[in-house]
Amino acid sequence: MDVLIVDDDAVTRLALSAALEEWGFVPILAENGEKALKKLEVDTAPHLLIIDWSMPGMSGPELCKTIRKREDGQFFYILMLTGKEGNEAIIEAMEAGADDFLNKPFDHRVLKVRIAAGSRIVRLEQTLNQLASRDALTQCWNRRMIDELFTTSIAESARKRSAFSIMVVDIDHFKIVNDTYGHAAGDVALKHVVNILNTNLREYDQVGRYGGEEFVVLLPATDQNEAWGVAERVRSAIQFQPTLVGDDISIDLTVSIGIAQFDRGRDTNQTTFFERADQALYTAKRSGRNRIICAE
Amino acid sequence: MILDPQRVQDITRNKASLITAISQLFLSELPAMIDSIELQLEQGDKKALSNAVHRLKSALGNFANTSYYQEISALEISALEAEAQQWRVNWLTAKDKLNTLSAELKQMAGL
Repeated sequence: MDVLIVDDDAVTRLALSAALEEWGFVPILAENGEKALKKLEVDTAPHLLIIDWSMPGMSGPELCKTIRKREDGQFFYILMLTGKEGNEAIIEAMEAGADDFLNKPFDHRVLKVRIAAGSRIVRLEQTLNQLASRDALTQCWNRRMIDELFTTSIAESARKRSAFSIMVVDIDHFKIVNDTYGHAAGDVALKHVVNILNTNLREYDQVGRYGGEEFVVLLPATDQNEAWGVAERVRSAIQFQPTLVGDDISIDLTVSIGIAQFDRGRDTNQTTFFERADQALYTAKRSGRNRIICAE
Repeated sequence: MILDPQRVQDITRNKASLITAISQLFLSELPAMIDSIELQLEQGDKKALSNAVHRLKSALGNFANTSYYQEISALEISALEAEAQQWRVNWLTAKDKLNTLSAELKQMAGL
C-alpha cells in the first residue's frame, strides 16, 4: 500500500520513508501541502497519509481540511504528526479532519502499529467501496457507478473536445433462458456476457449493468463508426460463444445493441443522450434482434 | 551527551547505511537551518523566527536527547514573546550544543 508522507523536514522524510519501506509500504514523498495535493490528484493516489502539522505555506490542519472538502467521495486516512503537546492540539487536528494523531518525537514502534491500524481501515474502506460500486453477480460496475462514470465521461469529452459514444446492450429473449434453464443458469449467462464484453472491449472502456439483462458500455474517444466496430465484435462473440452451464447445457444467446455518439449541439444532458442510444436499442429489438442500430 | 544514540538506532533499525545517510542529510541541512534562525533574529520577525526554530526542532527530533529537544522547543515558544537580547543568549548556548551534537553524530555514523 502507498503511503504519502508530507513533511518539510528532509531528515524526517528520509527516516519515515526507510521505516515504511521496511514495514512493507511504498512511501510517496511531498515536502509541503501544495505538492501533497498534486500527488492526490492522480487516479492511483495513496489513501494513507502521514502529515506534519507545521509546514511553511499550508499547515497540516489546513491540508487536512482541503482534503476533506474533496467531492469525489474518496477516503483518505490521515495520521497527523506534531511537536505540539496537549489535548487542544489533538482536538484541533481531529476537527481539521485527521483520523489519528502522534506527538513528535515519536516512538517508531508506536508509529508502526498506528500505520498498521490505518492501513486496515483503508483496506476496509476500499472493500466497502468495491461492494457499493460493483454489481454483485457480474462484478462489472453497478448502475450508480456507471451513471457517475457516464457523467464524468461526458464532461471529459467536452473538455478534450473528443468523441464519446455509448452502447446499450440487451440480451435477447432472456426471460426464456430463465424460464427454460432456471435462474441459476440465467446468472451464468449474465456472467458469460460480461466476460465477453470485458474481453472484447479496450482497457479504457467501462461496462455497467443497468438493469436485469441490460448493460451500458462507455466508449471514450470513440466516434459512432468505431463504436459500431466494437459493438459488432461483441455481438458476434456472444452469438458464436454459447453459455456453458455444467457439462451438458449449452445456451445460445444473442444481443441487440443501440449506439449513440455524444452530440454537444443536440444532447442537452446525459438523459437525452442515453435516450437516443436506448431508442436505437428499441429499434434493434423491433426489427428482429441480434443486431446493432446506430442512433439517428 | 546531546545525541540520543538509542533513538538513532531505533529510527534506523541500527542499519549502518541508513545512519550514515540520515546523519549526512542532517549535517548538510544544519548550516542552512542555523542561518535561517540568525537571519530571522536579525530581522526581528518573531513569527518567522519561531518557525525557523521549529524546523530545527523537527530535524532534532530524530537525533537529540529529550532534554535538548525540550530546550529547543522552549526557544521556539519564547521566540514569540521573549526579549531579543535574552533570547539571543539562550540561542547561543543551544547553538554550542549543536556543535557537540554534530561531532557525536559524525562519530556514530563514522563520518
